[in-house]
Amino acid sequence: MNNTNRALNRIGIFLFGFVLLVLGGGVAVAAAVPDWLASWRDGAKNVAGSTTDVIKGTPLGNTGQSWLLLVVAIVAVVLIALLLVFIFRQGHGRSGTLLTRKATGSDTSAAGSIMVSSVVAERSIAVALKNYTGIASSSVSTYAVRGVATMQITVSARRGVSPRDIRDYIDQLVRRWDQVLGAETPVFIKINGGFASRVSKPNRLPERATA
Amino acid sequence: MTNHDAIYRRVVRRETHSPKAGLAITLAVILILVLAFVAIEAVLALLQQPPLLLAPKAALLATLALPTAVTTPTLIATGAVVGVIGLVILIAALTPGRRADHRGGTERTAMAVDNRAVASALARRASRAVDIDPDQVVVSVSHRMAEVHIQPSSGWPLDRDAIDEAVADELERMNLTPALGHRVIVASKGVVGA
Repeated sequence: MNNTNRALNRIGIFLFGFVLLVLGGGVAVAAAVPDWLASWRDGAKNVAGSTTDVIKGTPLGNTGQSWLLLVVAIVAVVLIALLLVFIFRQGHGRSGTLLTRKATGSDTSAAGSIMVSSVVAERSIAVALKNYTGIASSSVSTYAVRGVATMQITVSARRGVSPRDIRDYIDQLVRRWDQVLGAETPVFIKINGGFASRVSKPNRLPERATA
Repeated sequence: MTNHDAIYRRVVRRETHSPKAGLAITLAVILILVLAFVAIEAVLALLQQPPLLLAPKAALLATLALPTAVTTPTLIATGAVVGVIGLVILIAALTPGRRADHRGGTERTAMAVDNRAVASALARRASRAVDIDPDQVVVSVSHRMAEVHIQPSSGWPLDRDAIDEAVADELERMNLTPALGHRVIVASKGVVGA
């Protein structure tokens, strides 16, 4: 539901893997073929020889050091900053507003603009969910999906309770909420059967519990 | 009625597949640590301070000396190990990363359900159908198949068809995508005193 850039995640992981594969594979193959190994050794020796010249050719004032070191440090710091942005860009996308109705020229149904906060819907539905015995725990949150406020209702089913029954109950809640709101916002339900449902007591009420 | 199909398709697709955030963050942190080390060594060398581990120039020369300084088998082995790690990461980037979930039909709302929740509900229905203890039923749900393992109570006949029917009915009610087939497996040994 969040707006993590999944394509970017995959591209990043792909590049990381690709570089390792090419480096590792390259070293292994070059070392395995005698001719290639010989030319690798010669090439490396030449580069090593010219390294000193390069360092001498790029002096930083009269410190005796190369300014290449400074470039390396700056590039590394810039890359670190970009990676930090990448990490903290994960997740996000929560929406604080569920619905906005602006009073436009043709729409005279409202005297002014109306804004419904997501918290209103989240709390109303969360309270109703607590009343249902088939649900061990629940959480409601709102995300902006392609600019549309979309509610996510995550519940842990109590042991043995049918997801169908839970969904029917939630659908009915949502319909009632639609009437209160006067609009139908998208709602996504996720039913889990993880830890919370395993440690919860089984529901002893009849299977198709009524709301 | 407002039509949210496009949004539901996107949300369900995203919620039933991993964002690969964990792996992406782990790799980014590794990269940050390496870059931080490089930056620190570069600055220390600039200030003509002793290096933490290895000065940049020494590191560069050591890397260039690799093919002569290290024995060929070690080079091949190390290269191969690094290459395989790279390949594994590459595969992780390209596989869909499907979660153990099933989609429900899209009605007023869209839904995804954890395979464990499906299994738990099927186990309950099966045990109710033939009136045995829920602990005697174990259900495992995979992408296309639900396997119902039952340990009968010793000395009592077990109505296999009733279980089959109950499980089929529950699966139909849940209306999952991809649809789940089912198989009822009755253990040859019963439980005594159940």
